[in-house]
Amino acid sequence: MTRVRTQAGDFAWLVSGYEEARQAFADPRLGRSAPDPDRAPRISDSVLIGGPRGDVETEKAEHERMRRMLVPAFSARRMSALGPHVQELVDGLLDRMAEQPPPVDLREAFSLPLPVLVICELLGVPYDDRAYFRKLADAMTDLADRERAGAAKAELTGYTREILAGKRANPADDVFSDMATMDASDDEIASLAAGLLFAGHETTVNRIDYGVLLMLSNPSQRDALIADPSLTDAAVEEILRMAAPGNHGLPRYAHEDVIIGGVTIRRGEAVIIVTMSANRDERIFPEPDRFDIGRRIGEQQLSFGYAARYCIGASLARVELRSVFTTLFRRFPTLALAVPVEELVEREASLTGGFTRIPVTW
Amino acid sequence: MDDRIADHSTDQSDPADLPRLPFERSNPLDVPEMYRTLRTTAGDPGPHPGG
Repeated sequence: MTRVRTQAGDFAWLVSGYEEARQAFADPRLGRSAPDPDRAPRISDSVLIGGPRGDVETEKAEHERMRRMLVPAFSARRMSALGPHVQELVDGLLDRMAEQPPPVDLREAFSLPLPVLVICELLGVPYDDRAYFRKLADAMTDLADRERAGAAKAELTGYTREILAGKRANPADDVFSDMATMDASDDEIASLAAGLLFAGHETTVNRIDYGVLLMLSNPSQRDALIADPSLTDAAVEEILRMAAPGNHGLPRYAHEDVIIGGVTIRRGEAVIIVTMSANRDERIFPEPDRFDIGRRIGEQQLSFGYAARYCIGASLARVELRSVFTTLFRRFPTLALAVPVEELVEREASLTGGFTRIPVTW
Repeated sequence: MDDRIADHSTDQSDPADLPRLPFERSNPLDVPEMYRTLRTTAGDPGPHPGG
């Protein structure tokens, strides 16, 4: 636990250790809302995680209500049932990639379309709209232009509001049709739906890219995975532990005085939980900077958060990543970067980070 | 902002001395080195029971 100045110049407590991060995630006295939002420390200019959100009085109940509504749609069982279809999508995209002459942009050909296809089918969003909502999702993560990011967030919510209206008239077997009948206001459901559409693909794209880069940078690990596909689950957990595309933490605000890691956090103060740091805590993960798919860490890494705030899409992401890393290197055993890794261009102005392109050859 | 620091009973750090986010990293596949420094200097809660 360390005091830091945020990007916005305010003060916050930085949670960098694993055990402290778990405590912070699990403590109900730390929330996304702040007791005095007008005086709350700002984290950054991001419209998504730049400051407090919601109301202290209602946050806990609202969060529990939202999870009750959404958990069945994203249950591990339902996601596992989705597995064979995800595998078909992976195979189809790789078939098309194989038909192209290398070098190919892996992000454009594979790591972006896969999560977009999956989330479109799961939610019931037209895949033909992908260019439109991808543009909005990109703009929402803009750290350099808050006005642009805010406008994109509002526009994406308007888009999901229209889709939900259509689902009420013509329901289908998808999550948005289920959501359209929820006992909540249209604005609330549309905002929730926009959040699912955004978070349901944006982060997985980068995890695929980073996983590929980690494998290519560690050929012995890639070879071990090709030789023994039963290592896939462990490989995915190790990728999730080490892949850190966005250089940002998750903000919380103390609703009352809280002690975390022996430090007293006063009511109203900001806390930033840095999972990329917690996942490299040498007290939990020996030699934390070594990419090792033979680690037996189970689902110990904190990339999906912990406790009541555990990511609702974790099972979906795991289904996709397992399918990707079961297949990609078996199908393309000679896959290699077509440019030196230092020539990859980072999306530095984006909250979710990642790279603009991943040129590969084989 | 300064009031919050001055009022804080457990820390009287000069704001200018505090590390400022975001921390830089030399390689996008790594995490900023500053986090390691902070983990090893910001108190030791002891080993995790799960090892």
